[in-house]
Order: sequence, then structure tokens, then C-alpha cells
Amino acid sequence: MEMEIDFSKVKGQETAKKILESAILFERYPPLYLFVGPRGVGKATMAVEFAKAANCVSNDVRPCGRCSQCHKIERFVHPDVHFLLPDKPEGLRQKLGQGGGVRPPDFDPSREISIRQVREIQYELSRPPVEARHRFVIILNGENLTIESQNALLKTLEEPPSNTTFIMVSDNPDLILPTIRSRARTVKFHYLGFNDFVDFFKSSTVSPAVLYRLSNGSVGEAKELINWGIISLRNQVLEILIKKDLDLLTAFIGELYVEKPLVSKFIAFYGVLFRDILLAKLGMSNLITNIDMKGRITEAANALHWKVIEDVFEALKKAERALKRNVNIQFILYSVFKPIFRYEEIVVV
Amino acid sequence: MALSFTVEVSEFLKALKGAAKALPSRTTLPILQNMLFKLDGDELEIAATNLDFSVIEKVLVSEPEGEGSFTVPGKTILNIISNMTEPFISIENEGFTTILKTPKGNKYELMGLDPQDFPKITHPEGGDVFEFDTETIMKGVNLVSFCAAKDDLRAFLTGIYWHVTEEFEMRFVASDSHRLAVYGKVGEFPSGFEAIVPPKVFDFIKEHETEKITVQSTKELLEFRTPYASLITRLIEGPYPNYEAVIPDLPGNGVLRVNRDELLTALKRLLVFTTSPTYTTIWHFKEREIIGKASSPEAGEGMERLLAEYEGQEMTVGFNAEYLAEIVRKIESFEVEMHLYDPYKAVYIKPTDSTKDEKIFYLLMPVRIAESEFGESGESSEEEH
Repeated sequence: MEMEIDFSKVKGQETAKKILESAILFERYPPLYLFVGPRGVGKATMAVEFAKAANCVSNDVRPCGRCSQCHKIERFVHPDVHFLLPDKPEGLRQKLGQGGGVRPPDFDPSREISIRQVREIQYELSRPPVEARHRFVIILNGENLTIESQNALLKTLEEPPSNTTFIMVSDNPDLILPTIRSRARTVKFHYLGFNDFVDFFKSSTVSPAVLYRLSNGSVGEAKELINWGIISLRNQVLEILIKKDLDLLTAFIGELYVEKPLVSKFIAFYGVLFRDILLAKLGMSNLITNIDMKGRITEAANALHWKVIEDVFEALKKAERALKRNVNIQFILYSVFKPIFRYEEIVVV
Repeated sequence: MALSFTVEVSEFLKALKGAAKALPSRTTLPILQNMLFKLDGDELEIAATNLDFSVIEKVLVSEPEGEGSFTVPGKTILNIISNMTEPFISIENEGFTTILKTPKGNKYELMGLDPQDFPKITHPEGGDVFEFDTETIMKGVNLVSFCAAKDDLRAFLTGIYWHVTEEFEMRFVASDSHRLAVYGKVGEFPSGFEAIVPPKVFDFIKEHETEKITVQSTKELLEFRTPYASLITRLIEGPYPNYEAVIPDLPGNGVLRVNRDELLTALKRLLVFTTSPTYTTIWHFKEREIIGKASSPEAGEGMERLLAEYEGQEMTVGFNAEYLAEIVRKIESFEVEMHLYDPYKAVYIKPTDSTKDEKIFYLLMPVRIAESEFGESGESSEEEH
């Protein structure tokens, strides 16, 4: 009987699926896969599904999700499927696997996968697998490997142990050494089409169409936007823009959870919002991203002077650079709102 | 599915202690802190694993009811049973909960994890089966294991290379690339046997005092078996380097015979004047005596003069005193024999009583020393004579 490979847990990504399916059907695995593509489109989930399919003992559909191998991998307790990520392994099980997919932590250059972690894996690889047919080392956030760790890893990749495949998942593959990239079988992942995207948000209170536009079709990103309370956030920001109320802004910045990756997301979202305001001011409000907020955005467009919008875009550029240089986060947040108050008199006149 | 049985505490404790050797000291997989209990008829199997090696102990139980597996936190149950004063204990299991009850009515409830999550313990099926004298194995391991690397990226150096040569000589080899130990014994051993074994697993043989042990191995796994217990270890991936290529021909350019105890005590005294990690001592070899020196900024200087038989080229060689002392400690003959080649080549060290059928020898790399280090004081002492 023909064996069937079932990667339906990952939506879309037909090219990637095709490549990986044939690897399983022929049982031929390269020493290193590089899964690249935007955040939150199923790379890490696919890595886990792939490890399951390669070790599943079912004869008709792999991964079956019922056999002991699938079961152990899914719960991150398989002794031969190792995870490397910039985190203590104890926290891994709680962090991963929430809400169906596998969610690697955000890329943060200050956190790294240390050479010690790589050495521990290398020790493990000097022994045969415990029970797996094929052993996997899944490196989430491959870009978090330090240069030393990457070089240590290179040594293993030059003489790959038998029955072992590394899967490096990365949304910043440029940060991975070319010597490693050149040894990898690269599998590309793309933003999801709207039809695949909608499946994840059928029961969501936020309109999937808006989420799709805000997240570019990244399920992970969209889920995060929901957790973040994007709707109330949008309202708050528009309120500040329309009323030009300094006290409101101070309260808002005080409340906003100041964590670096989150602030950089806020900056990106703020940029999208101002793009909408600019479009509304140009009378092209049918093109805006936040379509459900058309009224409020037009209101804000009317309240803000052209010069303000121009200065905000300038401030956003500076803010992005400042974020990389560890400038005080509150200061950055103020700086992108500042132009609104500067031109108040002009607008009144 | 409920299970229950009664077991004799002393036997149960022995089995638990045996299995506990495989409990990992730290782990990222919580299930490894548990032991897997498997009841089959009147036999209870207790398994524990740290993934590097697994131990399975068997113990007979009475009044068994039901069949199946469950897990129990390993250290917890060991702590309870080690402090048990009553002769019997009855154990009941339902789901993940295990209840221990003593005849007096004491009761302990333990929470296990899903036995499905416990790693599958694979036996080296289809591998060759041999029976070995435990005495020979333990002697070989004891003589060489200290030379294995403690922590090395070249994983094979952390193991003991256990093999049988084409001349039916069973050999134990260990090296950390600074020193090499080889123990060989000729006997009726199966030629072709070969494995790189983590040194720790030989403790299993020491603890299970049997005369003979069954060994079964494949390329990847090795199992030690006694009638009531077994240990399965993952072998270290080879190949082991061709160590025979570095063994020099005898005799060396200089041959020394020196009293073992005198050399050892001299080394111990000199160690006071050495510093970690090289423990450098400088030795001058000449006819009828050897002079050893060490100095450190903190402790000062020490000099040792030993009467000895030395034939051949006069030489000054630096040694790691810690390494040399460890080797001399393992030599049991009255005298130690050393073959020197030149100050940069490994010295060959052996007892004087080795036979054709049983031999042990060590190679030790010298420490590089500056030409001037064994300077004037050495020469001046020569003038005094």
C-alpha cells in the first residue's frame, strides 16, 4: 500500500511540503536543512512534523500522531529529537507548543545559543540514537547561534554523524555563516495566502481580513497581535492623535509594556497606521490597511497637518536606528509622537 | 488497570540501588528521574536510564495481581525503602499513582508520570554473545581507566577501547592524548571483539559480584548481563585511533630501573612545589642516579635525588608529576622500568614483572621545558660528587 505523508498541520507551503515529503518517502535525509522565511508561517511546526513523519511507525499515514514516536516528539520528550534555542531547556516545554503550532521566541540579538549548548549536543551525537530511526537536532532561531557556536557546529556538519539531521529554522538567514548555509539544503517558506490564513482565525473576534493585512499573512504574527490587544491599542493611539493630548500620551507610554521586541513591533504598527492616515489625507482611504477603522483614521487625517505626517515618518526612521543602539525605550516612544505636538499652532491657524 | 504485589524489602532495596545507578544527576527530560516498573507474572522489572546507559534489575514478588508498567520517582522510592525497618512491603498502582503499604499500616503515596514517555530500552539484539571473567575485566579497567580523557571533543578518547586482537589477546586501552595505558592478557578470547565503552559502566560489574559475566554487543550497543540484572550502554562512535603506531620499540636510548615506592614518595613530595595544571617537574637522568626538581613562586623549590640503575644517554626531561605519580601508583612490582628516547618523545613505563601472557604499560608525554631550566644547580651538584 502506498504510504501517505500528512503535513496538514502546516497550512499552505506546498513547495516546502513537496521537498520534505519526497525525503521521507525515499528515506534520504541531508545532514542539514535550513528552513527560511518570514516569522509565523509554520517553519518550526514543520520541523517537528517532519521529525515525526521520519520516525512514525504507522504504515499508511505519516505522521499518524498516535504512535509512541509521534506522541513523544509532539510532547518534546523524545530522547533523540533535540531542540536548541536561546533559553534554558527546562522552560522549553512550557514555551513551545502553545496553541497548536510550535512558536520559537522572538529574535533578540542579545540572547544567544551558547557554545556550551552546542557541545552538549555534540556529546549526544557521539553516541547512537536511543530509539529513533532518524535523529533530529532542531535549532529554533538559528541566527541566535554565536559565531563560536556556529563554528563549533560546522565541525559536526563537515563530518555529519550517521542517522542525524539538523534543521535550522531562521527568519534572518543572513546572520548565519555562509560556510554553514552552503552546506544546507535550503527550504523556503512564504507568507500564507488569505484562504489558508483564514482557517486559523475563524473564531477570532478580530476580523481576519484586518489581521491578514496587519500581519502580511503570518499566522504567528497575527496571533501575537491579538494577544497584544491590537484593537484597544489602535483606539488608544488614534485617540491621542486626534485629541493631541499630552497627558493621554504620558499615560499610554507608562502603561505600554516596555520590552524591546514589543516596542519594535509597536514602531512597525505605528508606521502602518501613519501610512493609512497619509492615504486617507490623500483621499485614497479605500487602500488603507485598518479598513475597519476608516472613520477614525479619516478623523485623525483631518486633525493632522501634512508637515506632521512627514515628520512622523522621519522620526520613525530614526527610531528604528535608535532601537538597534539601545536607546532608552520610553524616549524612542516619545520621539515618534513628538511631531504631533510641535505643529499644533500651525494646524490651529 | 490496577496492579498490586508484595515484595521483600531487602531484595527490593538491592534492586532499587542497582537501578538508581542509571538515574541521571541532571536532566532536561523529567521522565528520566523516574524508574519504570514492569510486572510480568511474579517477576518485577525495575528499569532506569540516563540515556547513556540503562540498568534493568529483576526481583521476585509474591501475590502479584495484574500485569503492566508504571513509573515511580526513582530517588523518592529509594529514600523510603532504604529507611524501611519492616521486612515486607506491598505495592499498589492505579494509573500514575503508586501506593506503598507496610504491614504495620504505614502508607506512602507516590506520583509517577506516563510510562508511555519512558525511553524505549533497546537490547543489542543479534549481536555476538560472549562470556568473560569479571576478574580480568576489572583488572584491565582499573589499570587503564584513569588515563581516559575526562571531557574531550574527540568523544572516543573518553572511552576505554576494549578489544581482542588477532592473537587472542584481550586489551584495554585508554588515552587522553597526553598519556596512554594498555593492558593486555592472552587467553581464550573471541578474536574480533571490539567496543569503545564509557568507563563508568564497568561499575556495574563491580557492584554485581559475579565470577562470569555475559556480554552481548553490536556496533552501537553493549549489554552486561547477570541472571538478575543487566546494563545496556550506548557505545561511543569510533574508530579508535591506531594507538599501536605510537608505541616505541624497546629498549629506549636510556633505560631506568628505580624503586617504585621511593619514586612515588619523591613525586608526592615534589608535587608540593608544582603548580596546576602542568605540575611540571624536571628530571635529570644519569648513571646511578636521577635528580628531580620542581619550583613554584608560592611554595619555593624542591629537589629529590634517587639512586637508580640507568643505562644509556644522559637526558633532562620534564614530566607532569601528577600524571607520573598516577601511573607509578598503579605499578605493583618492586621496581619501575622506564624507557626514554629523547626529551620530546613519550616515555615507556612498565612494571618489571610483566609476563608474555599478561602485560601492562603506559606511555607518558613529557612536558616541554626551556633548555636553561635545569641549569647551574644541577651541574654544580655533579661537581660536588
